[in-house]
Amino acid sequence: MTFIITALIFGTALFVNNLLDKSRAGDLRSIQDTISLNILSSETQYDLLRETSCKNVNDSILSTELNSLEKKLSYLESDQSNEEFNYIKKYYELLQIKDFSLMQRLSEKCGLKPISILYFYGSKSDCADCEKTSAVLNHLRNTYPNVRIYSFDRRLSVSAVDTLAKIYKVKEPYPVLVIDDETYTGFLSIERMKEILPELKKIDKERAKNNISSSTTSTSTAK
Amino acid sequence: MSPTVSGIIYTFMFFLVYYQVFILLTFFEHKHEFGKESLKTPVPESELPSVTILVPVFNEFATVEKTIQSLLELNYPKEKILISIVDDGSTDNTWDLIQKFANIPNITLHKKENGGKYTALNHGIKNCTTDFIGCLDADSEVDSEALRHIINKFSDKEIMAVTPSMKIRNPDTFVRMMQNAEYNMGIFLRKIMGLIDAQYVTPGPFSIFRTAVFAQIGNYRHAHNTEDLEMALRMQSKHMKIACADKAVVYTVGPRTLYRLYRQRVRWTGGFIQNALDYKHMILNPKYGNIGMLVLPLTMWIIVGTMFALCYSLFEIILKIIKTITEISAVGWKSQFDYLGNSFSFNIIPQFKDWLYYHIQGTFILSIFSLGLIVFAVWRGRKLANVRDSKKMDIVYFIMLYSLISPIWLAKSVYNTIRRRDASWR
Repeated sequence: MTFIITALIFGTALFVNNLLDKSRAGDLRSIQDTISLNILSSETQYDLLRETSCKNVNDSILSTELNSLEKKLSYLESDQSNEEFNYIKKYYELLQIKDFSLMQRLSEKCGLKPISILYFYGSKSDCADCEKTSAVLNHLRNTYPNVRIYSFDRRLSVSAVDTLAKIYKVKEPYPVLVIDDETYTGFLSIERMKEILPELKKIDKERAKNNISSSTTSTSTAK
Repeated sequence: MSPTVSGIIYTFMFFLVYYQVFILLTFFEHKHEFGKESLKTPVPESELPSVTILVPVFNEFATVEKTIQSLLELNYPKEKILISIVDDGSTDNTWDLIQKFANIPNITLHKKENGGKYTALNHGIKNCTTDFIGCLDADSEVDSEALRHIINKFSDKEIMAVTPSMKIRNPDTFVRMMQNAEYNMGIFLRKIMGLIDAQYVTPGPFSIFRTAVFAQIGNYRHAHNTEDLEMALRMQSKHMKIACADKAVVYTVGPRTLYRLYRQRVRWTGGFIQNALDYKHMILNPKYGNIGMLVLPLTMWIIVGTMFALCYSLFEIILKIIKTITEISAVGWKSQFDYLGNSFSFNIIPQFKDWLYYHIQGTFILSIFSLGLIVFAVWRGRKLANVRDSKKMDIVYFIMLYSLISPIWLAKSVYNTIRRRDASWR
């Protein structure tokens, strides 16, 4: 009797665990479907606009859901052996490539200049600087939401990612960053990133200016 | 979490849940025994046997007087209680203090060279002339009805020893409140162990034996400074029944500080492990019933599982610390904060919902079940011991703090066992 009840409790816990796993996977797939739809919508919009001017096009048509998906995937990162997770991660990388490709076409056609970084990384044992690079890129994601960071795990065999790596001549050792068609190997500090991307310094200056003017306004109001 | 670690943790949790379900089923099976007043059919006054109560003391100046007073106030024929105070070579004024009891007819005082608590007990046993003998630690006080409840249990001729319910006297600090909840849970568990004939400790405070037990199986041993535990295991190995008189209440002083609690528990846990190893022939041996097939192996398993969980948690914490140091060295302190408009803030709440969603696993659900059972055990223990105080925070402290600090004394006990070092009695 004790064994039966214990097995029942255990079975319930395992069942709920599976249910949660399926629900989480479903949630991730749903986000990916949203991203897919957004990208398809953007591509269609781009095709429609090919013959017209770019004045109706801006950065906001590009998917903003990628960051949210990336965060959720990172929570599950430790569960590497999960087949479901690996499948979702591969699909995510393909979506990133589509988003990146769309961004490049918009840049060429309409002169938009979204800031983008391609990040190629490997396993912890082969990539001593990957942890630090991830920290820097996470900080950039948090601080500059308009910066588009595309991460590619080279342990997954995704042929489109292999092609992208070939285009930019990405080779080991990792980490490798591609910024403005230039390839950088090894760790780049935030200061070095800002030297390579002076737009970030401009954003910092504008924010500082806004901070000063808003505090001046509130002081005047207080008087 | 890797599949290997997951598998080990699930295996551990399966047996933990099994043990808890067994306890729960035993409770429901014997529910009618809970709350039953043991003095409904009391032993007639004229038939009450004589009992010797040993009080071993070593530097108990602060508490021994109250202990003796509580014995003198027992609701039991005075001429049938013999109190034997054995001073085990105290170096403070304990011996002088207890002289005030020298003239009381049923109290005898003995002084000997320091040799440890078990030697003091054996000294008392050697001089015992009654059919029943027990012990009361000099930092404990006994309820006036306790001896009546215990002697009543001996109406069953097969019962060779009876254990009381122990409570913490005056839980005034959070450490003592924590122990208060633990002892309430212990009242419930000891009742269950008594019902399934699987008690593995005859606590120092007021366990009463038939004197014949010592004649048959020998006196107390050093037993890694946990002679009460070893005596119970020895009795169980000889198939001697130990009952529990849950209405017989003894109040003991719990350690006031975390450090003192730690030292006490290192001794207790280390004593359990080492005595269990001394009696390993009982483990998974059907000849010894529930104690051999269930209680001893599962308790050892819980210790092993807790050590594994502790090591794994420490490993994860170290990895997290290394990751945080790496992030801070790469980005600075801002890496630990989110950027919100004009400023950085440590904003855990938006992430928490996601984090919770992605980290709830089957083990979390099983842990909730285990926690529920612990709360149930504490509540039933309070009910069993007629606890009327309104100390509800004790269970909160118990649940929150025990899981954090008990692995530490567990680890030390395991370490001591490996190194074969005994923790000191005082």
